[in-house]
Amino acid sequence: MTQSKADKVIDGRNMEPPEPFVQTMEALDAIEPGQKVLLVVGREPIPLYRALELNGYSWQTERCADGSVEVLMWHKQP
Amino acid sequence: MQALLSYDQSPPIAAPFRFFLTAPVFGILAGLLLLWSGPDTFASRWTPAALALTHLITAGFMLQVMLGAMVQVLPVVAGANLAGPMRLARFVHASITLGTLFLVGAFLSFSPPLFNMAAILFGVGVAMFVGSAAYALHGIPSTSPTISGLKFALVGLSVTVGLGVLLSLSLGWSLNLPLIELADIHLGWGFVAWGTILLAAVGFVVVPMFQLTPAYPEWFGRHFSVMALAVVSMWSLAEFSGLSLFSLLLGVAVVLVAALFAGITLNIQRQSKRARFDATQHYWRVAMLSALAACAVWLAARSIPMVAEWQGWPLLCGVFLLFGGFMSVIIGMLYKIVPFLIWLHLQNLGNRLVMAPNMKKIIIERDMDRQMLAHFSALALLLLTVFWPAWFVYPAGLALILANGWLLRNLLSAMSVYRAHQQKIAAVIAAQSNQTDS
Repeated sequence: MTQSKADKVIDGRNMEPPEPFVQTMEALDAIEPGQKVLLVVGREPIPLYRALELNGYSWQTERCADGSVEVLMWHKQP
Repeated sequence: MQALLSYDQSPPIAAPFRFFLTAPVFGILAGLLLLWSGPDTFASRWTPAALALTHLITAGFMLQVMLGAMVQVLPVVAGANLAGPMRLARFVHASITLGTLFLVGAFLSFSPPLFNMAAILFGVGVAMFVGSAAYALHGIPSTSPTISGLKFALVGLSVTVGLGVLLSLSLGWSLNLPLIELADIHLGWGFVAWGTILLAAVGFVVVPMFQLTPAYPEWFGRHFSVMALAVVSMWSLAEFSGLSLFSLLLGVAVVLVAALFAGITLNIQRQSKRARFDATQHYWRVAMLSALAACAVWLAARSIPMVAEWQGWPLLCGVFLLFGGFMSVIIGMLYKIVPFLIWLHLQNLGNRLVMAPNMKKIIIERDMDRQMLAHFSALALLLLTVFWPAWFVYPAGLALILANGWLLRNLLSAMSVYRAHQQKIAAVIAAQSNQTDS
Protein backbone atom coordinates (compact mmCIF):
# COMPACT_ATOMS: atom_id res chain seq x y z
CA MET A 1 0.00 0.00 0.00
CA THR A 2 1.52 3.29 -1.12
CA GLN A 3 -1.06 5.66 0.39
CA SER A 4 0.93 6.21 3.58
CA LYS A 5 3.96 7.33 1.54
CA ALA A 6 2.05 10.14 -0.22
CA ASP A 7 1.69 13.77 0.86
CA LYS A 8 -1.39 14.24 -1.33
CA VAL A 9 -3.86 11.54 -2.46
CA ILE A 10 -6.22 11.94 -5.43
CA ASP A 11 -8.98 9.37 -5.80
CA GLY A 12 -9.82 9.59 -9.51
CA ARG A 13 -12.05 6.50 -9.60
CA ASN A 14 -15.27 8.51 -9.62
CA MET A 15 -14.00 11.29 -11.86
CA GLU A 16 -14.58 11.74 -15.56
CA PRO A 17 -11.55 12.35 -17.84
CA PRO A 18 -9.62 14.62 -17.95
CA GLU A 19 -10.36 15.49 -14.29
CA PRO A 20 -7.93 12.97 -12.69
CA PHE A 21 -5.18 14.23 -15.03
CA VAL A 22 -5.95 17.90 -14.32
CA GLN A 23 -6.00 17.40 -10.54
CA THR A 24 -2.81 15.31 -10.60
CA MET A 25 -0.84 17.90 -12.55
CA GLU A 26 -2.12 20.68 -10.25
CA ALA A 27 -1.06 18.68 -7.21
CA LEU A 28 2.40 18.03 -8.71
CA ASP A 29 2.80 21.76 -9.36
CA ALA A 30 2.03 22.48 -5.72
CA ILE A 31 4.35 19.99 -3.96
CA GLU A 32 7.89 20.66 -2.79
CA PRO A 33 10.86 18.54 -3.92
CA GLY A 34 10.87 15.35 -1.83
CA GLN A 35 7.06 15.29 -1.49
CA LYS A 36 4.87 12.74 -3.31
CA VAL A 37 1.42 12.62 -4.95
CA LEU A 38 -0.65 9.45 -5.20
CA LEU A 39 -3.35 8.95 -7.85
CA VAL A 40 -5.85 6.09 -7.56
CA VAL A 41 -7.70 5.30 -10.82
CA GLY A 42 -9.75 2.52 -12.38
CA ARG A 43 -7.32 1.77 -15.23
CA GLU A 44 -3.70 2.38 -16.11
CA PRO A 45 -3.38 6.09 -17.04
CA ILE A 46 -1.14 5.72 -20.12
CA PRO A 47 -1.36 9.39 -21.29
CA LEU A 48 -0.38 10.53 -17.80
CA TYR A 49 2.91 8.58 -17.94
CA ARG A 50 3.90 10.41 -21.09
CA ALA A 51 3.07 13.76 -19.47
CA LEU A 52 5.08 12.82 -16.38
CA GLU A 53 8.06 11.90 -18.52
CA LEU A 54 7.90 15.17 -20.46
CA ASN A 55 7.55 17.24 -17.30
CA GLY A 56 10.38 15.67 -15.32
CA TYR A 57 8.60 13.47 -12.79
CA SER A 58 9.32 9.92 -11.64
CA TRP A 59 6.55 7.45 -10.83
CA GLN A 60 5.84 4.00 -9.55
CA THR A 61 2.68 2.02 -10.39
CA GLU A 62 1.00 -0.67 -8.32
CA ARG A 63 -2.03 -2.74 -9.31
CA CYS A 64 -4.43 -3.44 -6.44
CA ALA A 65 -6.46 -6.57 -5.85
CA ASP A 66 -9.76 -4.70 -6.53
CA GLY A 67 -8.56 -3.84 -10.08
CA SER A 68 -7.68 -0.22 -9.34
CA VAL A 69 -4.25 1.23 -10.13
CA GLU A 70 -2.15 3.39 -7.78
CA VAL A 71 0.43 5.76 -9.27
CA LEU A 72 2.91 7.38 -6.85
CA MET A 73 4.67 10.44 -8.36
CA TRP A 74 7.48 12.80 -7.32
CA HIS A 75 9.96 15.34 -8.77
CA LYS A 76 12.97 13.70 -10.38
CA GLN A 77 16.13 14.33 -8.37
CA PRO A 78 18.29 16.93 -10.17
CA MET B 1 -1.41 23.75 -14.06
CA GLN B 2 1.72 23.57 -16.14
CA ALA B 3 1.86 20.32 -17.97
CA LEU B 4 2.19 18.84 -21.39
CA LEU B 5 -0.02 15.92 -22.14
CA SER B 6 1.82 14.19 -24.91
CA TYR B 7 -0.28 13.77 -27.97
CA ASP B 8 2.47 12.99 -30.41
CA GLN B 9 0.43 9.97 -31.49
CA SER B 10 -2.68 12.05 -32.06
CA PRO B 11 -3.35 13.21 -35.67
CA PRO B 12 -4.03 16.93 -36.37
CA ILE B 13 -7.47 17.94 -35.09
CA ALA B 14 -8.70 18.73 -38.62
CA ALA B 15 -8.32 15.05 -39.62
CA PRO B 16 -11.23 13.67 -37.54
CA PHE B 17 -13.20 16.93 -37.45
CA ARG B 18 -13.83 17.18 -41.19
CA PHE B 19 -15.75 13.89 -40.88
CA PHE B 20 -17.58 14.90 -37.69
CA LEU B 21 -18.76 18.23 -39.12
CA THR B 22 -20.03 16.67 -42.36
CA ALA B 23 -22.25 14.07 -40.67
CA PRO B 24 -25.01 16.47 -39.48
CA VAL B 25 -25.16 18.04 -42.96
CA PHE B 26 -26.25 14.64 -44.28
CA GLY B 27 -28.75 14.43 -41.39
CA ILE B 28 -30.21 17.76 -42.58
CA LEU B 29 -30.34 16.43 -46.16
CA ALA B 30 -32.23 13.37 -44.85
CA GLY B 31 -34.84 15.71 -43.32
CA LEU B 32 -35.10 17.69 -46.56
CA LEU B 33 -35.54 14.45 -48.51
CA LEU B 34 -38.49 13.51 -46.26
CA LEU B 35 -40.11 16.90 -46.90
CA TRP B 36 -39.52 16.55 -50.65
CA SER B 37 -40.62 12.94 -51.09
CA GLY B 38 -43.48 12.96 -48.57
CA PRO B 39 -45.55 10.00 -47.35
CA ASP B 40 -44.68 7.77 -50.35
CA THR B 41 -41.18 7.33 -48.89
CA PHE B 42 -42.64 4.92 -46.34
CA ALA B 43 -44.60 2.73 -48.80
CA SER B 44 -41.89 0.03 -48.50
CA ARG B 45 -38.18 -0.33 -47.70
CA TRP B 46 -37.48 -0.53 -51.47
CA THR B 47 -38.90 2.86 -52.57
CA PRO B 48 -36.20 5.05 -54.16
CA ALA B 49 -36.69 7.66 -51.41
CA ALA B 50 -36.44 5.03 -48.61
CA LEU B 51 -33.19 3.70 -50.13
CA ALA B 52 -31.84 7.24 -50.52
CA LEU B 53 -32.87 8.11 -46.93
CA THR B 54 -31.23 4.94 -45.55
CA HIS B 55 -27.93 5.77 -47.29
CA LEU B 56 -28.01 9.42 -46.24
CA ILE B 57 -27.95 8.08 -42.68
CA THR B 58 -25.68 5.02 -43.06
CA ALA B 59 -23.13 6.33 -45.59
CA GLY B 60 -23.69 10.05 -44.99
CA PHE B 61 -24.00 10.27 -41.21
CA MET B 62 -22.72 7.03 -39.69
CA LEU B 63 -19.78 6.21 -41.98
CA GLN B 64 -18.46 9.80 -41.74
CA VAL B 65 -18.31 9.74 -37.93
CA MET B 66 -17.10 6.13 -37.76
CA LEU B 67 -14.16 6.73 -40.11
CA GLY B 68 -13.36 10.06 -38.44
CA ALA B 69 -13.33 8.34 -35.06
CA MET B 70 -11.10 5.56 -36.38
CA VAL B 71 -8.57 8.13 -37.66
CA GLN B 72 -8.33 9.27 -34.04
CA VAL B 73 -8.71 5.95 -32.22
CA LEU B 74 -6.25 3.85 -34.25
CA PRO B 75 -3.13 5.81 -33.21
CA VAL B 76 -4.24 6.79 -29.72
CA VAL B 77 -5.82 3.54 -28.49
CA ALA B 78 -4.07 0.91 -30.61
CA GLY B 79 -0.76 2.73 -31.23
CA ALA B 80 -1.35 2.21 -34.99
CA ASN B 81 -0.03 5.37 -36.64
CA LEU B 82 -1.61 6.11 -40.01
CA ALA B 83 0.92 7.34 -42.58
CA GLY B 84 0.06 10.93 -43.65
CA PRO B 85 -3.19 11.16 -41.62
CA MET B 86 -4.22 14.56 -43.03
CA ARG B 87 -3.73 13.55 -46.66
CA LEU B 88 -5.58 10.28 -46.03
CA ALA B 89 -8.44 12.04 -44.19
CA ARG B 90 -8.84 14.60 -47.03
CA PHE B 91 -8.92 11.90 -49.71
CA VAL B 92 -11.24 9.48 -47.89
CA HIS B 93 -13.55 12.27 -46.73
CA ALA B 94 -13.89 13.68 -50.26
CA SER B 95 -14.49 10.21 -51.74
CA ILE B 96 -17.20 9.12 -49.33
CA THR B 97 -18.90 12.54 -49.30
CA LEU B 98 -19.14 12.65 -53.10
CA GLY B 99 -19.89 8.91 -53.18
CA THR B 100 -22.90 9.41 -50.88
CA LEU B 101 -24.22 12.30 -52.98
CA PHE B 102 -23.88 10.23 -56.18
CA LEU B 103 -25.52 7.22 -54.53
CA VAL B 104 -28.47 9.23 -53.27
CA GLY B 105 -28.83 10.82 -56.71
CA ALA B 106 -28.65 7.35 -58.26
CA PHE B 107 -31.46 5.96 -56.08
CA LEU B 108 -33.69 8.96 -56.76
CA SER B 109 -33.09 9.02 -60.54
CA PHE B 110 -32.19 5.37 -61.12
CA SER B 111 -29.46 6.60 -63.44
CA PRO B 112 -26.80 3.92 -64.23
CA PRO B 113 -23.85 6.36 -64.56
CA LEU B 114 -24.57 7.72 -61.07
CA PHE B 115 -24.53 4.17 -59.61
CA ASN B 116 -21.19 3.56 -61.34
CA MET B 117 -19.69 6.83 -60.03
CA ALA B 118 -20.90 6.03 -56.49
CA ALA B 119 -19.37 2.55 -56.72
CA ILE B 120 -16.00 3.92 -57.86
CA LEU B 121 -15.87 6.67 -55.22
CA PHE B 122 -16.85 4.38 -52.32
CA GLY B 123 -14.66 1.55 -53.60
CA VAL B 124 -11.54 3.71 -53.95
CA GLY B 125 -12.10 5.81 -50.80
CA VAL B 126 -12.85 2.91 -48.46
CA ALA B 127 -10.13 0.69 -50.00
CA MET B 128 -7.62 3.47 -49.35
CA PHE B 129 -8.80 3.78 -45.75
CA VAL B 130 -8.85 0.04 -45.05
CA GLY B 131 -5.43 -0.39 -46.73
CA SER B 132 -3.86 2.39 -44.65
CA ALA B 133 -5.49 1.17 -41.41
CA ALA B 134 -4.47 -2.45 -42.05
CA TYR B 135 -0.88 -1.33 -42.78
CA ALA B 136 -0.84 0.71 -39.55
CA LEU B 137 -2.25 -2.24 -37.55
CA HIS B 138 0.13 -4.73 -39.16
CA GLY B 139 2.35 -6.22 -36.47
CA ILE B 140 0.40 -4.68 -33.58
CA PRO B 141 -0.58 -7.51 -31.22
CA SER B 142 -4.24 -7.80 -30.20
CA THR B 143 -3.54 -7.17 -26.53
CA SER B 144 -7.02 -5.78 -25.76
CA PRO B 145 -10.61 -6.43 -26.93
CA THR B 146 -10.54 -2.95 -28.45
CA ILE B 147 -7.56 -3.68 -30.71
CA SER B 148 -8.95 -7.01 -31.93
CA GLY B 149 -12.38 -5.37 -32.34
CA LEU B 150 -10.87 -2.65 -34.55
CA LYS B 151 -9.25 -5.30 -36.75
CA PHE B 152 -12.48 -7.32 -37.09
CA ALA B 153 -14.48 -4.14 -37.75
CA LEU B 154 -12.20 -3.38 -40.71
CA VAL B 155 -13.10 -6.79 -42.15
CA GLY B 156 -16.78 -5.94 -41.59
CA LEU B 157 -16.35 -2.55 -43.31
CA SER B 158 -14.56 -4.14 -46.31
CA VAL B 159 -17.30 -6.73 -46.88
CA THR B 160 -20.11 -4.20 -46.35
CA VAL B 161 -18.67 -1.72 -48.83
CA GLY B 162 -17.53 -4.52 -51.19
CA LEU B 163 -21.12 -5.78 -51.39
CA GLY B 164 -22.42 -2.24 -51.71
CA VAL B 165 -20.07 -1.60 -54.65
CA LEU B 166 -21.19 -4.88 -56.25
CA LEU B 167 -24.86 -3.94 -55.83
CA SER B 168 -24.24 -0.48 -57.21
CA LEU B 169 -22.34 -1.81 -60.22
CA SER B 170 -25.02 -4.42 -60.88
CA LEU B 171 -27.61 -1.61 -61.01
CA GLY B 172 -25.25 0.48 -63.16
CA TRP B 173 -24.54 -2.33 -65.64
CA SER B 174 -27.87 -4.21 -65.27
CA LEU B 175 -26.08 -7.36 -64.15
CA ASN B 176 -28.19 -10.39 -63.34
CA LEU B 177 -27.44 -10.74 -59.60
CA PRO B 178 -29.79 -11.76 -56.74
CA LEU B 179 -30.21 -8.17 -55.54
CA ILE B 180 -32.56 -8.79 -52.60
CA GLU B 181 -30.39 -11.51 -51.03
CA LEU B 182 -27.24 -9.45 -51.60
CA ALA B 183 -28.90 -6.37 -50.11
CA ASP B 184 -29.88 -8.33 -46.97
CA ILE B 185 -26.33 -9.67 -46.59
CA HIS B 186 -24.96 -6.14 -47.19
CA LEU B 187 -27.03 -4.73 -44.35
CA GLY B 188 -26.31 -7.68 -42.03
CA TRP B 189 -22.58 -6.99 -42.44
CA GLY B 190 -23.07 -3.24 -42.18
CA PHE B 191 -25.12 -3.27 -38.98
CA VAL B 192 -23.46 -6.12 -37.12
CA ALA B 193 -19.99 -6.98 -38.48
CA TRP B 194 -19.02 -3.33 -39.08
CA GLY B 195 -21.33 -1.13 -36.99
CA THR B 196 -21.81 -3.17 -33.82
CA ILE B 197 -18.26 -4.57 -33.70
CA LEU B 198 -16.76 -1.07 -34.05
CA LEU B 199 -19.23 0.33 -31.51
CA ALA B 200 -18.33 -2.43 -29.04
CA ALA B 201 -14.58 -2.00 -29.62
CA VAL B 202 -14.82 1.71 -28.83
CA GLY B 203 -17.50 1.17 -26.15
CA PHE B 204 -15.22 -1.17 -24.15
CA VAL B 205 -13.02 1.89 -23.53
CA VAL B 206 -15.36 4.89 -23.55
CA VAL B 207 -18.40 3.54 -21.65
CA PRO B 208 -16.57 2.78 -18.37
CA MET B 209 -14.29 5.83 -18.80
CA PHE B 210 -16.87 8.56 -19.49
CA GLN B 211 -19.97 7.06 -17.86
CA LEU B 212 -18.23 5.83 -14.67
CA THR B 213 -19.55 2.29 -15.03
CA PRO B 214 -17.89 -1.03 -14.21
CA ALA B 215 -15.92 -2.60 -17.08
CA TYR B 216 -17.66 -4.92 -19.58
CA PRO B 217 -17.39 -8.57 -18.42
CA GLU B 218 -14.02 -10.00 -19.42
CA TRP B 219 -15.49 -13.03 -21.27
CA PHE B 220 -17.67 -10.71 -23.30
CA GLY B 221 -14.83 -8.41 -24.32
CA ARG B 222 -12.65 -11.34 -25.30
CA HIS B 223 -15.22 -13.18 -27.42
CA PHE B 224 -17.70 -10.61 -28.72
CA SER B 225 -16.02 -9.51 -31.98
CA VAL B 226 -15.02 -12.98 -33.10
CA MET B 227 -18.46 -14.33 -32.19
CA ALA B 228 -20.25 -11.57 -34.12
CA LEU B 229 -18.03 -11.96 -37.18
CA ALA B 230 -18.41 -15.76 -37.13
CA VAL B 231 -22.22 -15.78 -36.95
CA VAL B 232 -22.58 -13.10 -39.62
CA SER B 233 -20.24 -15.07 -41.94
CA MET B 234 -22.11 -18.35 -41.39
CA TRP B 235 -25.51 -16.67 -41.82
CA SER B 236 -24.34 -15.04 -45.08
CA LEU B 237 -23.21 -18.39 -46.49
CA ALA B 238 -26.50 -20.05 -45.51
CA GLU B 239 -28.50 -17.14 -46.93
CA PHE B 240 -26.55 -17.19 -50.19
CA SER B 241 -26.76 -20.95 -50.54
CA GLY B 242 -30.54 -20.87 -50.10
CA LEU B 243 -30.44 -23.06 -46.94
CA SER B 244 -33.53 -21.40 -45.52
CA LEU B 245 -33.74 -23.21 -42.16
CA PHE B 246 -30.04 -22.64 -41.39
CA SER B 247 -30.35 -19.10 -42.63
CA LEU B 248 -33.27 -18.46 -40.25
CA LEU B 249 -31.51 -20.00 -37.24
CA LEU B 250 -28.24 -18.20 -37.93
CA GLY B 251 -30.16 -14.98 -38.57
CA VAL B 252 -31.67 -15.33 -35.09
CA ALA B 253 -28.14 -15.88 -33.72
CA VAL B 254 -26.90 -12.67 -35.43
CA VAL B 255 -29.76 -10.68 -33.91
CA LEU B 256 -29.22 -12.19 -30.46
CA VAL B 257 -25.49 -11.35 -30.54
CA ALA B 258 -26.32 -7.70 -31.26
CA ALA B 259 -29.02 -7.77 -28.55
CA LEU B 260 -26.50 -9.22 -26.08
CA PHE B 261 -24.24 -6.19 -26.56
CA ALA B 262 -27.20 -3.85 -25.96
CA GLY B 263 -28.34 -5.81 -22.88
CA ILE B 264 -24.88 -5.91 -21.28
CA THR B 265 -24.35 -2.20 -21.96
CA LEU B 266 -27.67 -1.33 -20.28
CA ASN B 267 -26.74 -3.51 -17.32
CA ILE B 268 -23.35 -1.87 -16.69
CA GLN B 269 -24.87 1.56 -17.33
CA ARG B 270 -27.35 0.86 -14.54
CA GLN B 271 -24.35 0.61 -12.19
CA SER B 272 -22.92 4.02 -13.16
CA LYS B 273 -21.48 5.96 -10.23
CA ARG B 274 -22.80 9.24 -11.63
CA ALA B 275 -25.75 10.58 -9.62
CA ARG B 276 -27.49 12.23 -12.59
CA PHE B 277 -27.35 10.98 -16.20
CA ASP B 278 -25.89 13.43 -18.73
CA ALA B 279 -26.79 13.69 -22.44
CA THR B 280 -24.27 11.00 -23.43
CA GLN B 281 -25.76 8.51 -21.00
CA HIS B 282 -29.33 9.26 -22.10
CA TYR B 283 -28.24 8.87 -25.72
CA TRP B 284 -26.58 5.50 -24.99
CA ARG B 285 -29.59 4.24 -23.06
CA VAL B 286 -32.10 5.20 -25.76
CA ALA B 287 -29.76 3.71 -28.39
CA MET B 288 -29.51 0.36 -26.61
CA LEU B 289 -33.28 0.23 -25.94
CA SER B 290 -33.93 1.08 -29.61
CA ALA B 291 -31.53 -1.67 -30.69
CA LEU B 292 -33.42 -4.15 -28.49
CA ALA B 293 -36.73 -2.92 -29.96
CA ALA B 294 -35.33 -3.42 -33.51
CA CYS B 295 -34.25 -6.96 -32.58
CA ALA B 296 -37.72 -7.67 -31.11
CA VAL B 297 -39.44 -6.43 -34.30
CA TRP B 298 -37.15 -8.62 -36.43
CA LEU B 299 -37.78 -11.70 -34.28
CA ALA B 300 -41.55 -11.02 -34.27
CA ALA B 301 -41.56 -10.81 -38.08
CA ARG B 302 -39.79 -14.16 -38.24
CA SER B 303 -42.18 -15.90 -35.84
CA ILE B 304 -45.60 -14.20 -36.03
CA PRO B 305 -47.30 -14.43 -39.48
CA MET B 306 -49.41 -11.33 -38.89
CA VAL B 307 -46.27 -9.20 -38.34
CA ALA B 308 -44.46 -10.86 -41.26
CA GLU B 309 -47.31 -9.92 -43.61
CA TRP B 310 -47.25 -6.27 -42.53
CA GLN B 311 -45.17 -4.30 -45.05
CA GLY B 312 -44.20 -1.73 -42.42
CA TRP B 313 -42.11 -4.01 -40.20
CA PRO B 314 -38.77 -3.54 -42.02
CA LEU B 315 -39.34 0.22 -41.85
CA LEU B 316 -40.09 0.10 -38.14
CA CYS B 317 -37.01 -2.03 -37.59
CA GLY B 318 -34.94 0.40 -39.69
CA VAL B 319 -36.15 3.52 -37.84
CA PHE B 320 -35.36 1.93 -34.47
CA LEU B 321 -31.94 0.79 -35.65
CA LEU B 322 -30.77 3.83 -37.64
CA PHE B 323 -32.35 6.84 -35.92
CA GLY B 324 -32.90 5.32 -32.46
CA GLY B 325 -29.80 3.10 -32.29
CA PHE B 326 -26.81 4.18 -34.33
CA MET B 327 -27.53 7.91 -34.69
CA SER B 328 -28.26 8.27 -30.97
CA VAL B 329 -25.15 6.44 -29.80
CA ILE B 330 -22.97 8.32 -32.30
CA ILE B 331 -24.23 11.75 -31.18
CA GLY B 332 -23.81 10.66 -27.55
CA MET B 333 -20.17 9.76 -28.24
CA LEU B 334 -19.50 12.96 -30.22
CA TYR B 335 -20.52 14.94 -27.13
CA LYS B 336 -17.63 13.39 -25.20
CA ILE B 337 -15.04 12.86 -27.94
CA VAL B 338 -15.25 16.38 -29.46
CA PRO B 339 -14.74 18.35 -26.19
CA PHE B 340 -12.05 15.89 -25.07
CA LEU B 341 -10.06 16.22 -28.32
CA ILE B 342 -10.33 20.00 -28.25
CA TRP B 343 -9.17 20.05 -24.64
CA LEU B 344 -6.29 17.70 -25.46
CA HIS B 345 -5.07 19.74 -28.43
CA LEU B 346 -5.38 23.07 -26.56
CA GLN B 347 -3.61 21.62 -23.56
CA ASN B 348 -0.63 20.89 -25.80
CA LEU B 349 -0.78 24.04 -27.91
CA GLY B 350 -0.78 26.04 -24.67
CA ASN B 351 2.82 24.93 -24.29
CA ARG B 352 2.90 25.42 -20.49
CA LEU B 353 1.79 29.05 -20.88
CA VAL B 354 -1.99 29.01 -21.36
CA MET B 355 -4.37 26.62 -19.61
CA ALA B 356 -6.88 24.69 -21.73
CA PRO B 357 -10.52 25.67 -21.08
CA ASN B 358 -12.67 23.53 -18.81
CA MET B 359 -13.98 20.60 -20.87
CA LYS B 360 -17.55 21.31 -19.77
CA LYS B 361 -17.38 24.79 -21.32
CA ILE B 362 -16.46 23.54 -24.80
CA ILE B 363 -20.04 22.44 -25.55
CA ILE B 364 -22.53 23.85 -23.04
CA GLU B 365 -24.59 21.16 -21.27
CA ARG B 366 -27.86 23.00 -21.91
CA ASP B 367 -27.20 23.03 -25.67
CA MET B 368 -26.52 19.28 -25.68
CA ASP B 369 -29.68 18.58 -23.65
CA ARG B 370 -31.87 20.65 -25.97
CA GLN B 371 -30.40 19.07 -29.10
CA MET B 372 -31.01 15.67 -27.52
CA LEU B 373 -34.69 16.50 -26.99
CA ALA B 374 -34.94 17.55 -30.65
CA HIS B 375 -33.35 14.25 -31.74
CA PHE B 376 -35.67 12.16 -29.54
CA SER B 377 -38.67 14.11 -30.87
CA ALA B 378 -37.51 13.36 -34.43
CA LEU B 379 -37.20 9.67 -33.49
CA ALA B 380 -40.72 9.57 -32.00
CA LEU B 381 -42.17 11.31 -35.08
CA LEU B 382 -40.33 8.94 -37.45
CA LEU B 383 -41.74 5.94 -35.54
CA LEU B 384 -45.24 7.42 -35.88
CA THR B 385 -44.57 8.03 -39.59
CA VAL B 386 -44.15 4.28 -40.12
CA PHE B 387 -47.80 3.82 -39.02
CA TRP B 388 -49.35 7.06 -40.31
CA PRO B 389 -47.04 8.43 -43.03
CA ALA B 390 -49.45 11.06 -44.34
CA TRP B 391 -49.84 12.68 -40.90
CA PHE B 392 -46.33 12.54 -39.55
CA VAL B 393 -43.82 12.57 -42.41
CA TYR B 394 -43.58 16.37 -42.62
CA PRO B 395 -43.24 17.02 -38.86
CA ALA B 396 -40.66 14.17 -38.79
CA GLY B 397 -38.66 15.77 -41.63
CA LEU B 398 -38.73 19.17 -39.90
CA ALA B 399 -37.70 17.63 -36.57
CA LEU B 400 -34.80 15.82 -38.26
CA ILE B 401 -33.60 19.08 -39.83
CA LEU B 402 -33.88 20.86 -36.47
CA ALA B 403 -32.03 18.12 -34.54
CA ASN B 404 -29.17 17.91 -37.05
CA GLY B 405 -28.96 21.68 -37.51
CA TRP B 406 -28.62 21.95 -33.74
CA LEU B 407 -25.97 19.24 -33.66
CA LEU B 408 -24.02 21.10 -36.35
CA ARG B 409 -24.35 24.33 -34.37
CA ASN B 410 -23.08 22.63 -31.20
CA LEU B 411 -20.07 21.15 -33.04
CA LEU B 412 -19.31 24.49 -34.74
CA SER B 413 -19.48 26.31 -31.42
CA ALA B 414 -16.95 23.82 -30.03
CA MET B 415 -14.70 24.61 -33.01
CA SER B 416 -15.06 28.34 -32.36
CA VAL B 417 -13.95 27.80 -28.74
CA TYR B 418 -10.93 25.97 -30.18
CA ARG B 419 -10.09 28.78 -32.63
CA ALA B 420 -10.55 31.57 -30.05
CA HIS B 421 -8.32 29.75 -27.59
CA GLN B 422 -5.75 29.01 -30.28
CA GLN B 423 -5.53 32.77 -31.03
CA LYS B 424 -5.14 33.53 -27.34
CA ILE B 425 -2.25 31.06 -27.14
CA ALA B 426 -0.61 32.57 -30.25
CA ALA B 427 -0.90 36.07 -28.71
CA VAL B 428 0.65 34.96 -25.39
CA ILE B 429 3.52 33.18 -27.16
CA ALA B 430 4.13 36.21 -29.43
CA ALA B 431 4.12 38.56 -26.40
CA GLN B 432 6.59 36.32 -24.61
CA SER B 433 8.97 36.09 -27.56
CA ASN B 434 8.82 39.93 -27.89
CA GLN B 435 9.80 40.23 -24.23
CA THR B 436 12.68 37.79 -24.75
CA ASP B 437 13.89 39.76 -27.83
CA SER B 438 13.89 43.05 -25.99
